[in-house]
Amino acid sequence: MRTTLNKDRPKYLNLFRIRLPITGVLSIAHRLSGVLLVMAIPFFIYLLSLSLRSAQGFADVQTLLNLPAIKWVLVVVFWALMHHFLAGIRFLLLDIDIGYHRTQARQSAWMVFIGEMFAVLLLIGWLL
Amino acid sequence: MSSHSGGLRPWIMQRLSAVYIGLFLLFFMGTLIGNPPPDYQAWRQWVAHPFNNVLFLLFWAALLLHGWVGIRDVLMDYISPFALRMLLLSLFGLFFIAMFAWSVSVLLGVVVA
Repeated sequence: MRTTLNKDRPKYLNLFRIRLPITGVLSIAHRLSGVLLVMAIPFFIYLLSLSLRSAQGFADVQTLLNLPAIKWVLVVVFWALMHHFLAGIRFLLLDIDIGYHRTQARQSAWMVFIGEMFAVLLLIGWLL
Repeated sequence: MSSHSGGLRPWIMQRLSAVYIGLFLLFFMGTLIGNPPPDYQAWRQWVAHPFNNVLFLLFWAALLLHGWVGIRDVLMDYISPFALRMLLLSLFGLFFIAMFAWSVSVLLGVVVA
């Protein structure tokens, strides 16, 4: 057991000098997408409320969802949702010891990223 | 509050709510894409249907609980000054309670009115 400490050891974490493996990138993206989805909650309750208020409100929601700026907001929220959904399934499988080994864990992380990109491209194609 | 600061219960809640949110979204998206409500009346009736209404209420409850546990984990990991962490936890706590009240009033408003 070492009893002396390396005095030159880094005393802070410089995030730009840490090179995360793909599984680590996925973990951070899971948190980022989660925070983003929480921020989007009021917007979606508002849309639900407006769409149920009256026939006019229902029409307003349709107009709103067709605005180009809102479409891009929807694309970002959809990315966050797809990432959180797919990575979430991966984490649930890891919890029950499926895909736990490093090679498999890295492969499934790539599958999540490829899957969400595919879904986002499909949505962009459908919306535009 | 003290029982929430533990580990195992939030961990289980996070996973159970995740499964429900995922299943609900698949059901919801599937219904809306497969059989989109043509007009306001049809949409309102769909939401007012007791089965859909209860599933929708449970969805908001599960989603807000899931969001709360997630935000709580993020704040506990990244915000170390105690006062700031408590302030942010309280603000987000209020946010989630307000969102829950709002979503319940929207969904029940359709059934009652």
